[in-house]
Amino acid sequence: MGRLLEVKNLETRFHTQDGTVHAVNGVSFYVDEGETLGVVGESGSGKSVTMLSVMRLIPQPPGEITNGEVWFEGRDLLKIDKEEMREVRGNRIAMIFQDPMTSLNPVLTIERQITEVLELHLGMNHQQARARAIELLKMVGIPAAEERIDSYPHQFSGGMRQRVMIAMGLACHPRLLIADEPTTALDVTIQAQIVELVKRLRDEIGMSVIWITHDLALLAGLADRIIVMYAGQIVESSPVHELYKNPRHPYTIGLLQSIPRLDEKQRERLQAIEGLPPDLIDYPTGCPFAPRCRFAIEKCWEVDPPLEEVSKGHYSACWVKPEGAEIMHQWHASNTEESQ
Amino acid sequence: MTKYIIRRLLWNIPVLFLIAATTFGLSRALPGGPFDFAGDRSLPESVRENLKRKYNLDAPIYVQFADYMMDLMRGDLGPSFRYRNQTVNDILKQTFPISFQLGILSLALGLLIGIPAGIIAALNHNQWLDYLSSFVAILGVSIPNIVLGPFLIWIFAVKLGWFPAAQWGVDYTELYFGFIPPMNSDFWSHAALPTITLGTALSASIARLTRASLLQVIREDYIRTARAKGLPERTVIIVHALKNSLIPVVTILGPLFAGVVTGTFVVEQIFGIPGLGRHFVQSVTNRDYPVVMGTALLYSVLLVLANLFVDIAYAWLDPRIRYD
Repeated sequence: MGRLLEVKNLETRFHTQDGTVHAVNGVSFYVDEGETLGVVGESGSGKSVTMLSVMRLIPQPPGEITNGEVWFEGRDLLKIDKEEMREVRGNRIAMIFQDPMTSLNPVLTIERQITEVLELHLGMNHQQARARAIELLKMVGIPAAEERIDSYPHQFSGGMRQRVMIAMGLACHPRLLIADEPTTALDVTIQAQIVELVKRLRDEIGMSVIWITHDLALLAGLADRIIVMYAGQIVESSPVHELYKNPRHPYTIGLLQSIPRLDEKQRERLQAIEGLPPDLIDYPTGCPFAPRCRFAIEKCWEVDPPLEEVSKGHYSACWVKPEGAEIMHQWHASNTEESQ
Repeated sequence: MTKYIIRRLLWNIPVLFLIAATTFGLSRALPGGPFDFAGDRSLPESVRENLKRKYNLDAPIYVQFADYMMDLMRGDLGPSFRYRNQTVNDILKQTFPISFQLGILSLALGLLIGIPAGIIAALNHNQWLDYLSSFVAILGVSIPNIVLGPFLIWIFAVKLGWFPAAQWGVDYTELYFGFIPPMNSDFWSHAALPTITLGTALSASIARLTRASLLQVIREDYIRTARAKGLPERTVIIVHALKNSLIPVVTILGPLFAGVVTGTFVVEQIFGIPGLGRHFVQSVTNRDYPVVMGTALLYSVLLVLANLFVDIAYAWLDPRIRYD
């Protein structure tokens, strides 16, 4: 597998009236060809801003990418000019967004919104583009695509709209699809359908996927690798099974403990992560998670830990690096005792 | 859609009836009457009584109103009490086309300047082009026509001599559709300054509205989607943002249209335009009841029609709006 995307030391700031928001702070990651990378974090952890920075879709001002490199197909996307970047967007890298209700233009037909990408990037004429758009709609499972293509977004349900978004994203067979919480606004049953759809299309087209979510459970059957973001940093990065088996960052452990599990016989008490994420304007000097961390030692308050390899391909940015497997095991055990 | 339009038109009938009744009552509730003065002299009591009897003004007000409505049904707006040889129909026929034409020209100028200026300001949000355009727009809104008009006359008519100072009149023998005078150089030379005077204020408010609305729309998620598709910025704005942002602009166009095509007293006075505007004001001071009624009803009809067009335009701009 070749390397498709490599982001190095990315830094994004927002200059607001209250001060500078440190939204993304030295984030580095990569995506290989055909790989699916899950990006997890709570609201405001910088996961969306990181991906919007990769696409150079940060509104400037107030946003500014202050540092970093984004290597894709041999070019640093942060260095190429606007026109070249437009050629990449929607063509080589496609992005789909969280809320399909607001992400489609309400005043344009579905046809128009899909065909314009095809006409722009693939140079199709209108007839070819329309025929292709119908194929795409069928591919994402829209019934009666020939008729529905002339509808407006409000005539579709939420799940259908997200399918349209996906059809739009995949129109030019991108090498990379960035999905920014595409299922968050949808019903659970529809969520599963959309996940299955993206998995199927990923394998058919052979593209890479970056799937952003705050739902760690959703990534289990979808991602190859997961990065966990907190306060604009990557705090843990690991192959998917390794992460669930033995998380090595207290934040990840906390996230896993807060997932309800239906497969356990006994009812477990869910454990919430106490406290709030740090103020990104007044960025802390030490580890940003220290104030909420039950493992924190003195060093955590002074020096921000770097991302260090704990086992092959598994990195954690923590001075303590607690053995998540043990903690999770003890937790399950104690919960079981309590409920008996 | 046709059903909706017919229903709306029918609904407008009681609205117009109410406006007619209110205007009728209010104008007559004003102290004084139409025949108190002839020029500077006050008329003797006996003459006034005779005139009142002649115009049926001594009858009870509901009888007068019923008579007026019967005449109105036949399209007869009655005689003018002040312009003795003219009916209200004559007055409207002579003056309304002039005001209408000036109004349409000003509105066109307002849109032509206002919408692009608003777009430019929004696209350069918080940069010098935005500040410049907003400054000019505020200036345009704040300077009253009564200042701008004479100022333009002083520069372009008095100092530069490009246009006549206060003149209106073309060959009214060759009218298109019976009321549009030929738009020759003669016409433009006297229409230019009043059009600019009226159009400036209109363009300023249209520009401010377009800017505000577009600024809101370009923060929408679907604009980010359009950018994520790699569309050129021009397509993003013109195809994806503009149509959405025009709805508030269209909303004010209805009342603006009705207001501006029925003439503006100040501008018509300054530029010596024999339009309808002055009749709105003078008919009230003269207690010329039929002219008060005629102008008020014309304005109301135009307003309800303009608002109907606005609602139809909504459906065209936003497919989520459907009437049936």
